[in-house]
Amino acid sequence: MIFLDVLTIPKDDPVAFTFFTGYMAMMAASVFFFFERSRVDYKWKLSLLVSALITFIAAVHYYYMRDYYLATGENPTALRYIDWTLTVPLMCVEFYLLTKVAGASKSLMWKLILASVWMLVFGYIGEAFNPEGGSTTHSVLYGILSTLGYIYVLYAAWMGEVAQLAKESSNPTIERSVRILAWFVLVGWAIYPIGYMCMPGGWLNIALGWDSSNVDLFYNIADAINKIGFGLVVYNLAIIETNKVKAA
Amino acid sequence: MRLHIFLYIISNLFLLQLNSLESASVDSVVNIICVISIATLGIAHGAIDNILHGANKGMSKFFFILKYLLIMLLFAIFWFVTPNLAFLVFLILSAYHFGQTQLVDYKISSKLVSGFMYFLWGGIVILLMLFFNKEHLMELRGAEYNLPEVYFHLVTHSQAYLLSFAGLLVAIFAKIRIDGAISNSALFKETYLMALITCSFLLMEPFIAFALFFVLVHSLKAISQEFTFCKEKLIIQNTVQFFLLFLPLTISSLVGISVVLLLVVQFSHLSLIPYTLLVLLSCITIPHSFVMNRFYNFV
Repeated sequence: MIFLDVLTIPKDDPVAFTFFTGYMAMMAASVFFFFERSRVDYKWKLSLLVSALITFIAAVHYYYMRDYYLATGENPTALRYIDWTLTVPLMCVEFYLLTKVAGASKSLMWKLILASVWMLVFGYIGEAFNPEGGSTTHSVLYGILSTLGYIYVLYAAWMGEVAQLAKESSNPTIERSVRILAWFVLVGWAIYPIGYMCMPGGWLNIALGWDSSNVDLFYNIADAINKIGFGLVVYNLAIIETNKVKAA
Repeated sequence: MRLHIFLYIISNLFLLQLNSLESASVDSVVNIICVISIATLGIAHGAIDNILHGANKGMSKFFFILKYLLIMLLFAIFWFVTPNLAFLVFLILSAYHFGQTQLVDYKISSKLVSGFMYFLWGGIVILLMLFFNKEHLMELRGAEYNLPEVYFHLVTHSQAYLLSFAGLLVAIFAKIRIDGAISNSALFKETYLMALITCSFLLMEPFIAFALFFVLVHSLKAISQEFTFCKEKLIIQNTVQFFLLFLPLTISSLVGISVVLLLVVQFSHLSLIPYTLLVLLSCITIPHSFVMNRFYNFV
């Protein structure tokens, strides 16, 4: 029965290709983080579990998104935003968990979660509720609102509370890891606004003619790099710190 | 990340969004903000040149300003005698000055290498502006703007110059990385900033992209270096005192520029304003870049 519904991947469709590779990469990363969790010191287990959850949630969504895309040829916008609404706040939780040793408060975690949800909700309204044909005003208004949330996370990671706490931890490994995660926010997350501006009514759509197929390609690549990369940075930190404890 | 780079990133993010509105009123507001920013922060970053030069008070300050104005006057005459050469000197010194402000923190033993690196970095920024606006800038040929021929040569060949400059800069960065004068992290930051400047010039109007670079990347960084210097030398204790320090010469410069422009409008033609602004800008840049070079070498 299932063979009747099998959909082939067109050879000249990089979007479909990246949906499949994205799905497999996320799933493999989840398995890796789940199993490696047993190897790290107790205080890093939660961080690794969160990393595994991020890639697992994304893998499940990619499983549905790849089929949706192959069947309809359309952007799975709603599925994508459901995925991000769960995974992006979890990435912010990682910042909190890493800086907890330096005294990060729960309020910091909630502020980061709130900012990321703000960013995603307005991004979703901007993309999903854009009138037929694309309204630039709608795209710009929600784009700017969404950017405010992004700027808060960026500020916290580079100059604000997260950066300060990482410095105060007096642990060069934590400081370095937080800095790498901050780079992910600066460079990796910057791909999302580019994707957003490719939507009908968006500026890159108007000026350069980039369309929704470019959006999915950008998003797929960015998701794989950001989510797996984020987890690997945390994993690397956990292994280094565990080895330190063992050696002591 | 330093504050001025953070501000540069978020300004680009917002302006890119606003750009898509293609609304004349939004564009006017953005242009006005850019002019005000250049007139305030841009001018201000050179308004304590006397202090950076060590001529803080009394007669030494007076003679410094006199010398400064004399150099400006001589350069203005230079423009009338040989505009092509004057324009070229202006570009070379501007490029060097932009690069020096950005890269001065890296301790490079060879002055020749560091000087060349400064020139290449600033040169790339200027060439990016010319390259991405080639067609628009070439339209000025034959118009009433009276721009020097060397300007059109640079615009026409901007791609070749840009690639050569970028290639040489990469080679220098590779060398100083091997020598240990720059860390991987700093190298990554510099690459990121250059990519961001490139995107800014690619996607935005040349004036807006330049204003963002000039005010946020260049002037704010210079002001922050000047603030640190003044605080260390106990010339000031807080931000308010610093503000009061550069206020008089900022206002004087603005008044001076306005008077010259008014005279041009009064006795000449409106179309001469861009040319006059270019000459004025270069006349201010020449002594300023020398003072800053001395300041960076002294610090």
